[in-house]
This record gives sequence, structure tokens and C-alpha cells, in this order.
Amino acid sequence: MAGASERLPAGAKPRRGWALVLCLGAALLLAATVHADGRIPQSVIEVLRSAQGAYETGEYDEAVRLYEQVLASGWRAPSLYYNLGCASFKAGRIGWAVAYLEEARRLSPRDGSIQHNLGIATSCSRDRLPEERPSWLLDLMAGVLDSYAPSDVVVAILAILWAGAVVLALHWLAPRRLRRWTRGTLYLLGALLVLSGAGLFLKAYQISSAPSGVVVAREAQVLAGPREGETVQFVLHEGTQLHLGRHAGQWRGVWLSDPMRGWLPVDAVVALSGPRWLP
Amino acid sequence: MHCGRDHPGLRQLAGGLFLLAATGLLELAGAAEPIIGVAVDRPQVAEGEVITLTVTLEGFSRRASDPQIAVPEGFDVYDAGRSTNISWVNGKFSSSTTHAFQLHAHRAGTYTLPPITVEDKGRGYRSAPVELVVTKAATAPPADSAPHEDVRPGREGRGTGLFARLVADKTEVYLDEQITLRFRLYQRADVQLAEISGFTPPTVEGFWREDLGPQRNFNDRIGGELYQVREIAWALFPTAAGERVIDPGRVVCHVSRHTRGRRGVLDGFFSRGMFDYQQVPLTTEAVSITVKPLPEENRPDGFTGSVGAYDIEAHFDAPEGRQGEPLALMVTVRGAGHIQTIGEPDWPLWDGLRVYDSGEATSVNKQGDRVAGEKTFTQVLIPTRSGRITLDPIDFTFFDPRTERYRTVSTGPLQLEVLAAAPATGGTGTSEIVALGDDILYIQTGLLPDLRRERGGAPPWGYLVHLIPVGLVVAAAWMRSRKVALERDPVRARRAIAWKHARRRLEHVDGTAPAARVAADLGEVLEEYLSDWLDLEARGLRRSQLRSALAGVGISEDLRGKVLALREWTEEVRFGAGSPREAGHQIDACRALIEALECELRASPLGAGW
Repeated sequence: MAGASERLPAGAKPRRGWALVLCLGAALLLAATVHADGRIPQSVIEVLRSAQGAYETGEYDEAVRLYEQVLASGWRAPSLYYNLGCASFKAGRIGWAVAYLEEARRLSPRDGSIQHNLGIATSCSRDRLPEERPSWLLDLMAGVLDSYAPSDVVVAILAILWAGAVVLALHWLAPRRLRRWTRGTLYLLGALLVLSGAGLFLKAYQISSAPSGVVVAREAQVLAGPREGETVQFVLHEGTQLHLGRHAGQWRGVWLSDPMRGWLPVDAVVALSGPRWLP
Repeated sequence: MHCGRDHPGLRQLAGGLFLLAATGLLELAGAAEPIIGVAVDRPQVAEGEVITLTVTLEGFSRRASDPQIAVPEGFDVYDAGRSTNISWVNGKFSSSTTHAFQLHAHRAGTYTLPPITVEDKGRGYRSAPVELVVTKAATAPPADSAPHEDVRPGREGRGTGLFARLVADKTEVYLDEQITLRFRLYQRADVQLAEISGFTPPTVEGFWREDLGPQRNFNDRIGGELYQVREIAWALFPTAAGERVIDPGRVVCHVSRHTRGRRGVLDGFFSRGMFDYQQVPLTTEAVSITVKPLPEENRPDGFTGSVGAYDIEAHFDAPEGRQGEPLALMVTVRGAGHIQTIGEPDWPLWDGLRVYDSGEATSVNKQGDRVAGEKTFTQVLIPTRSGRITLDPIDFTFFDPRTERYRTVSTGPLQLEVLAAAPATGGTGTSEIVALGDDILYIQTGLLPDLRRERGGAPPWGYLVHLIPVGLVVAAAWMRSRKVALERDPVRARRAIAWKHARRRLEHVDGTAPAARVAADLGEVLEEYLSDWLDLEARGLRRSQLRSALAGVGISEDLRGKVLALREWTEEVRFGAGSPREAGHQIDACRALIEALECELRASPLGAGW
């Protein structure tokens, strides 16, 4: 019909529905293709090779510098954070190692190597926070939530939406005898969508309540106020994860729990990146 | 890096225990119910003698309070130091802290020492009470001999035979160097002292103070007269440099005087047995102390602020180690000085060992006038390889105020024989796999495929591709609505497919066939098309009826003429009157005609709603 419509004289009313859909789809696919410029500059590849070489020869400080150079140029990957964490650990920068490995874990939560190294780096922190023993149900839920990244849920929801759109179109257009099957599939996809939405909500809650920074100074005195001379509330050591609050000049509000809060110099802590929702 | 000196990390259960130990918290001990143990070296003493009270805290956390002792009247209490003991048996840690106190008994009687209390994690713990018996002294309190000092009675107490003095053994010291401060009460031999009350020790701001045991009594001769001297001593450690003043100490004495012969006959009945009591307040002088900062010159890198005179030694808790199994290295710093505050030794980096801090134990000895003792630092070592491992010497640097120089003492190199990892027990020929080391895993080398450029603030246009399913649903909904509409209106449905059917049939008309056949096919295509659109049987219509029907739906005059002409040609050829040579051209003419009709019919009232 579309081909015929092109030959119709002006003033006619051709059937343009499919043509519009196809044009829209083609345009969007083109946009996505243009945007997804995955080419990595040769300079970045060279720096990564140098960083790996420095690590292999035991020049851990140099490896850290080179990996951080790649990070500063705007490239991200769980494995990049992982390597930075390994190099920082070997260089004796426990706080930075914990920070980088935590970044890697948040990007790739099911990676066993990251979990292993993060566990070792964390165990080297001198501070031990009081352990809370949640119920087995909360423990189980935390384990499930820890096993996926926010972007995983978003991908799942997008996949469900794509599948749902196709099945819904089939349901409307297919012969009546097939609708029983398409209807069942739609119910299943709807249930999955609800589950994924709940997972997304819980993940957002988990992220909002997770520590947002790491102590990178060897030892840091948490003061009662944002200026020198204030009372020392407690002392933290490198590698301790904590919650970050507002800035006040060269000071940053921090807290571990309700009674344990205060101020640290901004260079004593590093803030972890926010959650990445989009894949 | 202190923790990860070699191969940090731990997975095994045993490793987990050491990890806990590394924090110094020893939660294993904390898991059991804490215990307060109380012991005295002897339950019965005479007046003037000393009981040593030992309070042992087991299973308490580091945040536990110091023992609170409510000493009954008749005793003075002095802190005699504390020590922490860490034991490790069968891979389990336990710790205890022992606080020592000296109870100086000065009044006979039977006493009950109330329960000693300790607070930890918001809970209070109590010990059992202790019975103490103080008997009358057989003789007067012993009078020690004391070095004679140039002491003269002051203005206060003049004429009463009583005076007090505050004496420091040094008036110029270095930061954290010990000063011995003595408060002395002098009582002339002929003065009868009935009671001492209201003792106010000197205020020592800017100093760390340690009690130096119970009161000492001795005799001294001043200006040819014999005096009995009572002395209380403290060890002071300056915490900041500068000029410091130790405020005076104060005491109130009650002196008994014999009044017979100076009063009336009846006075004795009303004057408490012929003795009168006079209250004599005594105040010492203040003492100025100059505290010098530690010299900057030649200060070693490893100096952590320790002052005194110390030595260092180290030993392992076992003669040899085994790969993957922990053993303890105890490093003891021993000597005179403020042992509680000395810093850690300078730990070197050791290859072939994972190292974890496991706390420190302090033992203070305050015999005599000097504070001394030892502090033991314990490190848990886990060999990661077998063979002989030579540990670099452990240095401890301090400032010696006697020589006014920094000194470094060293343990010397330490040798450790490490056996190979223990094989699994059992004689079946199979063995459990045991993790011998636990280090961080190696870096990932193939990270290029994962590498993505951060978008920064650019909008993610690429994600608009996910609007496609929305478009798909909209299109499907539109098609479904159209399909439903056609199903409800058969006439409209015929009109909708008229052009499609006509085009399909025209594709099957064979232009090489006999002209009659072509004309018949074209006639049928045209008539069916018109029948679908006009909803009438076109085949039986006369020329005039067809013309008026087309005119009725708004078909142009020109197009009406072409329709009628084509219809007339098909009939003529079928019946032998027309020119068969035009058959090939008429197929194209018919297609063009139907296309033109489709356009005008869609624009007509019949095509409304398309």
C-alpha cells in the first residue's frame, strides 16, 4: 500500500501508518548508532598498556597514576576501577583501594574477584564498626539487592517493555485463536514488570542508605565543628566507609551513625560516584 | 602500609580470628559474660600497713570504664598501675586487664569493701564485696630515716610545731620527663597531733599525675629539733612545654594541748578531760616548673615522642612457625619513663609474612620514686612461605633526658624457621585443599571491551531508541481499531480493499493473450472495482445509469468519460467490433484509470473517514 501511495496524486489520503513507524524506528536506530561511538583512542590504549606494565614490574604508584589518567580522561569500566583498586592496595593506599574497589563492585556486583579484593582491602582498615545482625529475611534481601546493579534492573525493565510491546501488538493483530497465548504472556510480563519495579525501588532505597564516601587519610580526627580547635569526636582510619554530608569550606560533614557524626577535612575523604541507572 | 605489609587478606576461619585480633578488640572474649575478679594479698593488716588490691577485668571491651572503688573510711587508696594480658590458646584469643591498688589502713576495725563496679556498653557489672580486718598497731608507725634537706619552718604554723612543704625533685625538665613531687607535713616531737583533716592535694594542671604509693613516715632533725614527717609523693609528667606552676597543697591539723594548771578547778569537768584542741590550717608554697620542649636537632625519623630510658627485646611465642599458620611476635619495651604513653616501635616491612596488630599490654612498676615498667606489643604473623625468614630489626627511638640526646635501641635481626604447610590428616590418600595464602587477586588485563566513555552532561539521545516499542504499540492499536471498524461495516470494508484487489487482478492480465480475453479481464476488473466502491452491480448497468452513479459520488466528467470509454471498448472487442490491436495499451490505461478513480473516490463523500 505504501508503494501505491507514492504514485497517488496529491489530494489523496494514502495509508501512512506503517511508513511513519518504520521511519521513526530507522531514525532512532541511526541516532543510537551514531551516539554509540565505541572507538577507544590509541593514546588511551597505550596508557593502559603502560599501567599494566608498571603493575607487573611492581611500580604500583606509577600504575595508579596511569590508571587515574585514563579515569580522568572520561573512560569508565568496572575492570578499570578494579585495577586501580589493586594498584592502590599494593601501593599502600588502603583508603583509595577500598574506594576504587567499591566503585567497581557497584558497577559489577556479581564479580567474584572484585568482592574478594574488596574484602581484603576492607579488612585492612583499622576501624571496626559495630556489626548489626539483621533478621534472616533482611539478610536475604540484602544479599539479593547486592547481587545486581541499578542498571541491571533498568535493562530488565526495558526488555520487559520491548517484549510487552511486541506481544501486545501481536495480541491486537493476530488471529483470534492465538490470543489466549498472547494474553497469558502479557500477564506474565506484567508480573515481571511489577517485580522489576519493586526491585528498582528497593535498590534506590539501598543506594540512598549506603555509605557515600571513604576515608583516605591514614588517620583523621572527626571534629565537632568545621574548624580547627573543635573537640575531637572520634578518630577514623583509612578505608572506613562513611556517609558524607554537606560542605563547609574545606570541611565535610560525615557520620557513621546517629551519635557518631562530625566534620572532616575534605581531603581526608573521597566521595563515591552516584548510582548509574542507565546501562 | 601497616596491615598489608606482605600478603594481607584472610579467608579461613583462623584468619578471621586473627582479623578480629588485629583490631585489638578481641570480640571472642567479649562474646562471653564479662567477669570482675577481685583479690587482696592479705585480708588482715595492722594499722599503718598496706593491702594490695587486684581487680582483674576479663571479657570487657576496650570502652569499659575503670573500676570504681568506694573505699570505706579508715583507708586511703592509691593507684598502683594496670597491665593488660593477651593469651592465645588453641587459636583463640583472650584478654584481661589487671588494675592494682594499694589500700593504706590507718584505723583499726572490720570493714567491708563494697562491690567494685565497671560499666561497659551501657551495662553495669559488680564484683563481690571483700571483708577486710585492720588490727591495732603493736607499736607506733615506723619512722623511716630520710635524707636531710634544708627545711625550715615557715610562717604558717609558727609556734605550733607544725608546718607543710611541697618539694619537687626538679624544677627544670623536658616534656614528658618525670618529676617527683612530695607533700610533707612536719610535726615537732613534742606536739601532739590529734587529727588531720581537710587535705587538699596540690593542683597539677598541665601534668599527667601518677600516685607513688601510700604515705611514708620518717623522722628528720631540723634546727636541732626532732620532727616526725608524713610524706605523700606523686610522679608528674609534663604534657606541654612552658612555665608551669603547681598550686599549693593544704591540710588542716588538730593539735591537743595540755591545759591543767592554767584553768580553774571546775574547768576540768567541762574541758574534755583537761585537753584543749586547736585547729591549725597549713598551706605549702607553690612550685614553679620549667618544661623544655624536646630538641629539634638530631631528632630521628622514627621518633614517636617517647621520653625516658628504655631497652627493647623481641621473641616469638613458638620456636618455629608453619606456613599459613599464625604465630605471635612479642616486642617488649622496658625501662623508666611514662611507660603508658610510649609509642609503637618502628615496624619494618617484612617479606614472606602477613602481619596483623593484636594489641599491647602495659605493666607499670612504681616501687620507689620512679615510674618504670614495660609495654609489650604483639603482632600476629602468618608465614606465606616456608624456610628461614630473617626479619629486619625492630627499632625503638626515645629521648633520654639524662643525656639530653635521642637514642635508638634495636632488637637485632630475628630469625624464624617456617615449616612447610601441614598436610591434611587421614590415611585415605585424599586430603582437603587448604588455602595457604590469601592475597588480592591480579589485575584484569583485557579491560578494553568494557571501557565506555562517560557521557558527562550530554543527553542520552541513543536511549530514544526505546521509544520504538511505544510506536509499535501505537501502530498496532491504530491497525486494530481500523480492522474492527471494517469488520463492523462490510461496505466500507469492500471499498477499503477495492484498489488492492483491482491492482492484483491487473497484474495477472496477460497482454499477449487474445484481445477478447484481455478485454474480458479488463472489463471484469473495472466492473468489480466499481461494484465495490458504489455498492451496486455494475455489470448490468446501462451506460446512462453508470454515468449518473459516478456523477452522484462526485467523479469528474473527464474521468466518467474514460470509464465509459474503457467499458465500451471491452464490450466491443469481446463481441468483435473493437480494435484488438489496442489491447496491450488498454491494460496500462485501465490501471491508470483505476488509480485516478481511487483518488477521487477517497476524496468523495464515500471515502470520508479514511
